[in-house]
Amino acid sequence: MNTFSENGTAGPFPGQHQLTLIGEIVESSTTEFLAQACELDSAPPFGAFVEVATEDGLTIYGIVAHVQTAGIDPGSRAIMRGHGDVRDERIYQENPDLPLVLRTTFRALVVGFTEGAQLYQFLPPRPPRLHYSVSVCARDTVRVFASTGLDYLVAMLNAADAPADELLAANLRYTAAQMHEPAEFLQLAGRALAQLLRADYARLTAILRRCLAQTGAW
Amino acid sequence: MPLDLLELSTQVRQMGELLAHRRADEQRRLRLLDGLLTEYRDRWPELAELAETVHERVAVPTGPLDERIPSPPRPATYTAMATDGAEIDPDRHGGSGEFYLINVGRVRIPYGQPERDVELSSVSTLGYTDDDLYIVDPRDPRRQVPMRDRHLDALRTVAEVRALADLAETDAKSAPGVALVDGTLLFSVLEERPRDFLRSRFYADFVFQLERLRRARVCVAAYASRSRGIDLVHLFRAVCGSTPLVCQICTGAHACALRGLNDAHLIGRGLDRWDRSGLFRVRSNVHDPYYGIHRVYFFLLATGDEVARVEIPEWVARDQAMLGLLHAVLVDQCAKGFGYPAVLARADDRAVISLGDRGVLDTLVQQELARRGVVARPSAKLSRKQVRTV
Repeated sequence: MNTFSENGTAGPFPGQHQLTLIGEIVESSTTEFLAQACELDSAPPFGAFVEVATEDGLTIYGIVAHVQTAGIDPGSRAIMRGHGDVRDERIYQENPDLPLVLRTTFRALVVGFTEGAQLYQFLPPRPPRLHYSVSVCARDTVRVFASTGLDYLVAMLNAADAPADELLAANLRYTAAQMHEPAEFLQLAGRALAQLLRADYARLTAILRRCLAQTGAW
Repeated sequence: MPLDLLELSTQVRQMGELLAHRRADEQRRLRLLDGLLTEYRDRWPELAELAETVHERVAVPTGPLDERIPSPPRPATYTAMATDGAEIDPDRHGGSGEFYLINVGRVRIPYGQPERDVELSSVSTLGYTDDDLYIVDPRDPRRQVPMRDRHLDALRTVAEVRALADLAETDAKSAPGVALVDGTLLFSVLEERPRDFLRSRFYADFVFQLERLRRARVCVAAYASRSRGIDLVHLFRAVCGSTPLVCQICTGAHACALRGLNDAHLIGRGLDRWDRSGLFRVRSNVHDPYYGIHRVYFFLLATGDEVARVEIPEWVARDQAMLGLLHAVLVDQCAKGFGYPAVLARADDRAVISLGDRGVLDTLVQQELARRGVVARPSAKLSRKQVRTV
């Protein structure tokens, strides 16, 4: 996995960030982008924050909403290759060409961007450029992004081609784990969600249950 | 709808009936031929002697006809190399000028060598100069044969083996290597006149590439899935004279029992899965003068669902270690590739030129011509096909 530094002094995230290159954009639009992971099966976790910098000073943030591994050529299908005691990792050892004909892609929902020193939680004026590098957001970036506001939760609630509730819960769990005070963050997020879903109590509780299941608080 | 499906369905039904009858007849004829095969099973030196006197291309046996060799153990460490090609013929209707494209998929997979990288690539070559587009008779430069159709096929075949020789020469040789091409080593070159210049042009280059492979000490083979080769059938036709009226086997039937059968019918039936047949040399008046020490031998390989034909040059056939390695590697490759060598399947994936790729190439050419102020106008026929008028 490659790492590279980016000077972030101009943005809302002071200091040097060590960015972890995780993929490259292969499809891009205003609301989402699709990236191919640098290595097979090494996509960022579902619900994680990723970022793409453009050369005109924008850094666009997305949340991983779908991960897929399949054949590179459209129309090529993976078939069962295991036999006898050749299973799991040994299948890859027996067929060293597989990593070159398979690829892992992940789709990220665009939830905000920075321009200069300002961070916005709405859609950027331009989508990220094709073939640009996608990195996992540093912990500090996640903290600043989530502390700036929770307007981005709406984008996830309204996600059309993703399991919206699962995505929201996964993102809140992921974000809480990056915060200094996870419980406090979850409380804030819970309140914001209660506002957004005041007309849909069942949905709200379902999401909250998913957020808190691992903490044992539910 | 351009197809008259009603009429076609009647014809399909009639065809089905005929095919079923033909299959039953085939079985009957094979039973007749079993006697002939048994009779000649151990008289193969006699057959080999006869083969030298036949004018047609025939198989020369090198051992008993029913020889079966079981597969050696599958190797865990070896390097498989393969190439496969595809081409776009010059399109006289396209208007973008005369050019052809040859795309060769090149694959090298080092098995059991985790420290080495897999190579999957393709090399595309555009032919557009006069030297590319015409084959010129060196003795009479006024004679020019356009490089298209069967000649372009031959050029692609040579390009495939050249790419294979490149792979073999650059291989790290950290494990035994096997290099495969799809199809045959005995490709055909149509000549318009006897002793024309076309065969020497293609065969000389082809044999030079085989020589590079020999010097690189990489075992080379051509693999033909569900082979329809009939070299042995031709030999038996020479034995029986192919005159059913006086033939003891056909006993006055209206047609020779060998008609429509192929070598796999004759000797492939006795092979168990992963067995190979004995070796046969192909005696070909067309190829032998050019091939020299690369004269072609073949064996049949039972892969379970079908019988494949594997052609090798003489220096592989005479090297027992290489032959054993080839057999074992082909078994491993067919097991990995579900009946067809995995490395060849990858090379084919890299060679295929999709409709989309063709469109991109056409656009590239048209843009380049437009940039230079040359109008690329398709023929009236192509224009009519592109835009349907009512």
